[in-house]
Amino acid sequence: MQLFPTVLILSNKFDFSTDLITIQLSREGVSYLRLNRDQLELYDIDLDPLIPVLRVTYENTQYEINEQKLHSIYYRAPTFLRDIYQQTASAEEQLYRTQWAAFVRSLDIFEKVKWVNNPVATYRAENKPLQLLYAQRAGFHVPHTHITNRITEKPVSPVAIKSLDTAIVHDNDQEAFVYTRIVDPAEITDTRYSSPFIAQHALVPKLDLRVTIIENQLVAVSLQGEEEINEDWRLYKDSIHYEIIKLPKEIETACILFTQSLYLNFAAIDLILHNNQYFFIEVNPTGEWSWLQKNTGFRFDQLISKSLSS
Amino acid sequence: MEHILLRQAFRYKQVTELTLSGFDYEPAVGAWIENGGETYLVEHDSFPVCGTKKFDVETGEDAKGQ
Repeated sequence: MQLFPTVLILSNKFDFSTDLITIQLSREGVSYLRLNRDQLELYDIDLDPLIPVLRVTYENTQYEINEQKLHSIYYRAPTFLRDIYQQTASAEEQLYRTQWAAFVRSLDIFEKVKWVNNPVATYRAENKPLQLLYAQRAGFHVPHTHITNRITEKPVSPVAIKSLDTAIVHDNDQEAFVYTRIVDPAEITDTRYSSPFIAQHALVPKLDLRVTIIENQLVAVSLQGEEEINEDWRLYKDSIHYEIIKLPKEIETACILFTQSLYLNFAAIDLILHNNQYFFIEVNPTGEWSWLQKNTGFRFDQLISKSLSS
Repeated sequence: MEHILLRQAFRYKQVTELTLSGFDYEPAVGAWIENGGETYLVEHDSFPVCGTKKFDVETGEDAKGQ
């Protein structure tokens, strides 16, 4: 049997949000192929870059992916562009990681299709200082920010301390994840640290908002704790009340403009409402949405599937 | 002095492997399905994952690294 998918999905086997998308596409009768990065060895794969065409065979089915049939690529995969020389992995495993990672990057040759999102755009958009600059250009209020390894001047008000990039470290047989923390000025000492971090004027009290954007569609959700949350709301996620809200028109416009300025078709923007003003905090181009679907009932999977198939 | 970021890090036991008994991943469908049944894992009553984020383990929303 030969199939000509209109949607190509790059994910991994345990990404359950992708399950929601494939199920929705299946119910809509959309032809798709999900390739999992952790299972690529199960397929026979052949890519001709000059046409371009990708042929994938699994058991008795051959999938031919070409730009005449393909509408979109849903990219649920890491964006770090190189993965070389992992001393703790076997030679075979090192080759698997480096060569398949390069293969996934190779799919960028499908230039004419819609990417949600293109990894090159995602990679650029994950630059937090760039996010703040572009957000300001789009019309957002942005908290006063420094990226530094040393705070020399004692702040007069609390400071939000956060990592410059996602920070998950292995530490004494545990994993450690760095959330945003509000630090009192009294705790700030003039110390030169070994690596930089973000020090931002803390906006407290605040209301956290998550704005999910899929092309020109926008869904804003407020995240409210049982008690006032001044720190990272993810620390309180089990007791949060989620509510879909309507943003002011100018904020909606800023969200869309900002997303387009980074060439993203999907974005998860974190905003804060503070003193009746909306502040941009950050965007995650690969942000999660299924937890919001579960907690609000809004069908993000339908919105994404529609974007992928149209 | 300990880094200001590490001082405030949330520490948890590393999840090394995820097992899903009673369900298999079906490559042709691209989803996990109950063994011998037609129920998708993500639509199963006992499936909590999509209500949290990544099994309550933070990964910065996606697995950005390899």
